[in-house]
Amino acid sequence: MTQPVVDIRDLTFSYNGQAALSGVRLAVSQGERLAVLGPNGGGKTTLLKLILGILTPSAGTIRVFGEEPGKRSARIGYVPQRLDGVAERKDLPIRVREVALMGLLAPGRRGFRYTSEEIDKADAALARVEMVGLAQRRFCELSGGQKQRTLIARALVSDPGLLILDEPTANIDPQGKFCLYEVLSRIGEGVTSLVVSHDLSILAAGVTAVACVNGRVAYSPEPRLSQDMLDLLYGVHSHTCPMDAYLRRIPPDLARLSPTERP
Amino acid sequence: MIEALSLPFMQNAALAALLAAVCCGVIGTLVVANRMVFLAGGAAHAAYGGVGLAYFLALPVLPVTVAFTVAAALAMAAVTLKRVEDTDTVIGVLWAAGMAFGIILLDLTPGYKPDLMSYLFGSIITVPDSDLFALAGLDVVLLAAALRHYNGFVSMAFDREFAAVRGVPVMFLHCLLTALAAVSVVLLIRVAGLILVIALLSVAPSLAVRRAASLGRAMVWAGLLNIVFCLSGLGLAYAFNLTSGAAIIAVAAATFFVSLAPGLARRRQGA
Repeated sequence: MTQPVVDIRDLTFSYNGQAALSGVRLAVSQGERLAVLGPNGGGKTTLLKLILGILTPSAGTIRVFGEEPGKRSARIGYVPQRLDGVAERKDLPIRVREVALMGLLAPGRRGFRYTSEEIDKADAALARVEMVGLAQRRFCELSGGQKQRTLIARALVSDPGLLILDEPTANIDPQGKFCLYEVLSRIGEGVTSLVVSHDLSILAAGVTAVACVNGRVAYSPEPRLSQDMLDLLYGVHSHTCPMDAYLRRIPPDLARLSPTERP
Repeated sequence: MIEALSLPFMQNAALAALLAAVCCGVIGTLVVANRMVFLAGGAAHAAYGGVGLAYFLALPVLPVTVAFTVAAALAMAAVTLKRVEDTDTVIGVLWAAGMAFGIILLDLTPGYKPDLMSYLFGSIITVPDSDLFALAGLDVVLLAAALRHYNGFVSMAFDREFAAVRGVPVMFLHCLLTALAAVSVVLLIRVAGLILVIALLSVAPSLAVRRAASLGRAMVWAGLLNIVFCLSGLGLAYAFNLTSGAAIIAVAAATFFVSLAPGLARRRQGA
């Protein structure tokens, strides 16, 4: 049996003495495309930051590619939930290609020039998200969807074995969202991906498994939600919600319709 | 101005202006891009604490002020790196406390006391050769640090969290940038005064960052703009018998506001 890419055992994490996650067990296999769903404040981003090594668990263990989080950062591509405010500045003189090249940074790297091979890699990653034509544009001049695609190129440039996307559709319109889903569906089969979202239409984006996070984690090895998961997502009100459609995988063409247009 | 440059003290002033312009172009651009202007201002005011401490303990002013300012700036950096939401408050308190600490220590110092006003505006036309050498050394260190860690500084300015995930030593670079800004501030206060330092660190870099194609080019443009501000300010000061530091700030501020005009006009047309 092959080793899971992400292996989490009995994980607990507390903020200021309050447990944000407890008793989490999760194993993500190679090539799996896991949708991580959950309400705001449920611990989705916390879980990702623990996997990335940005946060340290209060108890339990996490192994990424068999090692402690943060040790194999070169094999991980990461698209953050939102930039920390600085990159959103309208005046920062950083071009799209430069952003993609940031995905090649590694510990101990010095100097200010990138090699021609690295620039070719960055352009190839930008081409995968259809952004190579805008490589010389300033990042701050792009639309929300273009920015998100550039950040995905930055995550893809190092050919990662694990791709982690935190709410990639949070700030883009429905059209941009489905463009993004198409981009994600084209990512190579060997790549393991974790896509955090509170938007259930992510289930139509070619995911192969689902994990629901709300203080604890419920996992399904197929893209459908069990009653337990709905309870975790929507609490005591779940049985009153017409959520039956989400109990099975939503066909992609149906997911493109707005809720009022669905049969 | 050409006639003025034949005078030795004006030659020293022009050289000091050039060296300060390079220094502020490099460190100022990184400070502006990383939104650390307030932190640099805090370090500049905390430097007063170092001056007061040096006089109170009868120790050499420059090393004590550098050590005190770097320590204060690193304390600000450590707090603000972990608790971003407290940045304004922490820097504001250290800003005021450093200055008050320096003034109280000077009050308690018996005998000769320096004129604090000279630290506020400096005196670029009375710069000694030793300060010119110190500034030249600082420029070399800043350029070397900027070249060596350029990509790290850019990624830190763009997305600190991603940079950390990729293994960029964000905490080290943040502290390095803070320490370099603090040392620059201390050396430049002696030459240009506190107010001019803040102007040189913020006005030209913010103009350059808005228009340059990359952060590296912004550093070059900021350096060139600072040279223009300093030399034209010195020319005005010489021609109209004005305080040199204030004349340089006036030129920089006027350029800054003129540069805002096209944007404001476009916004008014759009409204």
